[in-house]
Amino acid sequence: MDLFALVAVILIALTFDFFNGFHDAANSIATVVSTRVLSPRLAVLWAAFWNFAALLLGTKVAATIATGVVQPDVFTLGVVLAGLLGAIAWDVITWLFGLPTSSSHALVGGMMGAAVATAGWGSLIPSGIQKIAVFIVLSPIIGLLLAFTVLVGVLWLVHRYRRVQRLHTGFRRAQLVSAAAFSLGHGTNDAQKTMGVILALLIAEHRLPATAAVPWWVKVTSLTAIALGTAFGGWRIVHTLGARITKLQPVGGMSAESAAAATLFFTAHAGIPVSTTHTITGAIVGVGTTQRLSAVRWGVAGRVVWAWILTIPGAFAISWVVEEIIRLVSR
Amino acid sequence: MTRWIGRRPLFFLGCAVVCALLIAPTPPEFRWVNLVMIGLALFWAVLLSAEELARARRRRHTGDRTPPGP
Repeated sequence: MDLFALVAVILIALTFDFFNGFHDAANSIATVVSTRVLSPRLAVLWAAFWNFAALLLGTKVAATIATGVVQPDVFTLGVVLAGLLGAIAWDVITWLFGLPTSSSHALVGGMMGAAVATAGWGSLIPSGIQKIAVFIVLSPIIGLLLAFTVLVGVLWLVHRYRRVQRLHTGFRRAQLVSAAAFSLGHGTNDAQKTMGVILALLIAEHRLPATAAVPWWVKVTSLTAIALGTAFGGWRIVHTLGARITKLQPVGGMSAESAAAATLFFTAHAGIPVSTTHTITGAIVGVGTTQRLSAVRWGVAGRVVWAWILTIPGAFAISWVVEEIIRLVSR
Repeated sequence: MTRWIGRRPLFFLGCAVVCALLIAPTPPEFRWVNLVMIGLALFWAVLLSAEELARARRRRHTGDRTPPGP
């Protein structure tokens, strides 16, 4: 029975990962699609492939999720289940409204809510949460400033070059590379959150020692789930980011993706779970700012910001309720 | 009334202020990120201000009456 329940919760974690791909990973292709460098179908496959390629990179974010947000001894099947269900419910609600919120922060909020419902506020690890909270705000600003710098730098380098058509083709090709880099960054960051949850679960159920690394099968299944989610797309959100925040040219798309990819690689290396959605949105705003502030549609950007603010409390509240229901039922 | 600073430099100045406010809660090992971002934001704020000043001066010299840029 225990094994059956464990497998069921792992499957739910992988479902969350799939939805993460469905909801978040589409961000990796928003700029490639909006600049018409790739067709939506090809762009999705390109992003899914590079999501999976993150298999070759580290697992520091997974370790942060497993041991850095909630005291590891609080994790039980019920807590993880409630956290996951809260995060999935929040993702579905925001997806229905076409809001590019963060599945990552929904997961963190969900785990926090379920843990607090079970063991009180003392079950949270303030230093870990503080690190994540700071980078909720910092990651879009880093993306914004880097994208602005990259774009101005590139335009300054090529401003005397007169063969505009050739330049345009070059930027379109470069955007394929930057989109791949961003998808790789997304795989290293977002798939690792599910790896972290499964790792925490396996440790809690005494299937692994407390200091264990992420098993290979957890890596492969998590990355497969997120890649499949990406392949099935989330077109409403692609539209919000790629077309509605600001109008993009290939050089702008390339700059936004390179800046966002650099941010994601840094945070993954540092073991900080950040939102790919936040990062790419900041980078797209940075690109829009090179033209003029009014090139950014602040109404849409503002809606996105509201979704960011509400994500952790929203997922926290849903998971809290789910955990209470689970405990009530299991009595 | 003449604007003494453009909207874009102000925007980057705002980014620098946010990064500065976040220094205290940022874990010590990552504070260099805040500092680099403050430097970058201030760099662009100064450069964009200089561009705006130069544009305004050029406009005064040529007697151009088109509305100011972004």
